[in-house]
Amino acid sequence: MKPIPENARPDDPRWAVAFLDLAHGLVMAGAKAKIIERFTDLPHSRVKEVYKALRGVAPPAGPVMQGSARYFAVPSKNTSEASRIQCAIFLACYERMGSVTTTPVQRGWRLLAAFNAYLSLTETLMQTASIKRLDINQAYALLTYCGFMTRANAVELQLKECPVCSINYPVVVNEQLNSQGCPVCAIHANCLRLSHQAAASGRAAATSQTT
Amino acid sequence: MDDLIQLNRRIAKHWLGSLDAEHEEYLRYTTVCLGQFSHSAAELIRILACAKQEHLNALPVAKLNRQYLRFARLAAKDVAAGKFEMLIRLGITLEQGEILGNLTNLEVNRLAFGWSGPIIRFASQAIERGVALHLRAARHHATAFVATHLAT
Repeated sequence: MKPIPENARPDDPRWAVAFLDLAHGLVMAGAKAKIIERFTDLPHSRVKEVYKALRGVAPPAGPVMQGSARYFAVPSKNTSEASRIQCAIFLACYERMGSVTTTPVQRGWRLLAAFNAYLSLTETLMQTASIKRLDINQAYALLTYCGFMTRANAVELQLKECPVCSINYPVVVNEQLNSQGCPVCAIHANCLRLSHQAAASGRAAATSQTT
Repeated sequence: MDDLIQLNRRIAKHWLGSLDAEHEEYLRYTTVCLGQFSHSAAELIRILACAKQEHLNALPVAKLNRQYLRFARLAAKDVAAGKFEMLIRLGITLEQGEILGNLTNLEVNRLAFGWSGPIIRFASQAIERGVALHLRAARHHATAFVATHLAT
């Protein structure tokens, strides 16, 4: 898979094979049909055919954009600190993939290459900590909220650098930053709290045994 | 991955001296190279074109440079085969990767010994901040090292 430049067209014979490779890669990653159509100009029927041929199933159903920007940035019942870190890792991969060549690369190619890099980088942690990783459709939505997929000026998420651990993580622009602290530091604080609690309960148990 | 862990261990040892258990655990989860190769492809070509072979570096620095260059050469071959994540792991561009991937053993040695000092820079601040965290948080930090702002 060769980087596709931003100005390459799918109907250009020099790039037709690269766009087909991109479509195959996106299908294998489980991208929704609309995303594949957008980046490769393939008609919906052709995307369905490719899905059937490569994976034996129809493209995933449902809208491309689900949830809101808060889902990726604000800790809640549905959003753990670990999954916020996953967002930070994917965004870093996407940013870095944009600077591997001096000429801008096509956004679909960049999405797929960054997503594959993200999967590779998080493999070890996933095996040991059983974290939930982003899928490619969530990655696409995350990029859209960050303004990477549209040329609109109004972005809902932006990166913030933690002054303590130096991690860049996404925050919702229009919300208080107090509720959007660094996810790594939050895990650290939680682990310390739990170990202090465990130590305190151990001390209490020892005292009750001696008395 | 084992090669990357070994390389990161050598890089960290070179700058930090000895490594304790926290450093070792952190390095097991670090997914990118801790050394930053900030030299342009043109700079590499210029140095390789110099006819004279110089030995500027002490053996430990030359060994560090050589281990980095060998890893980068292999990684660049992976990139040529379509594994673009190796560019992210090394923090280099395609152009730099093409030069590094085509280095001969002789050229690797010439660069390793002839470069003035270590061929890479080391972001000590981000690592020390990560290592200082609780073990569980440190694992996440090491995995997310690619998302750190690197200050040496």
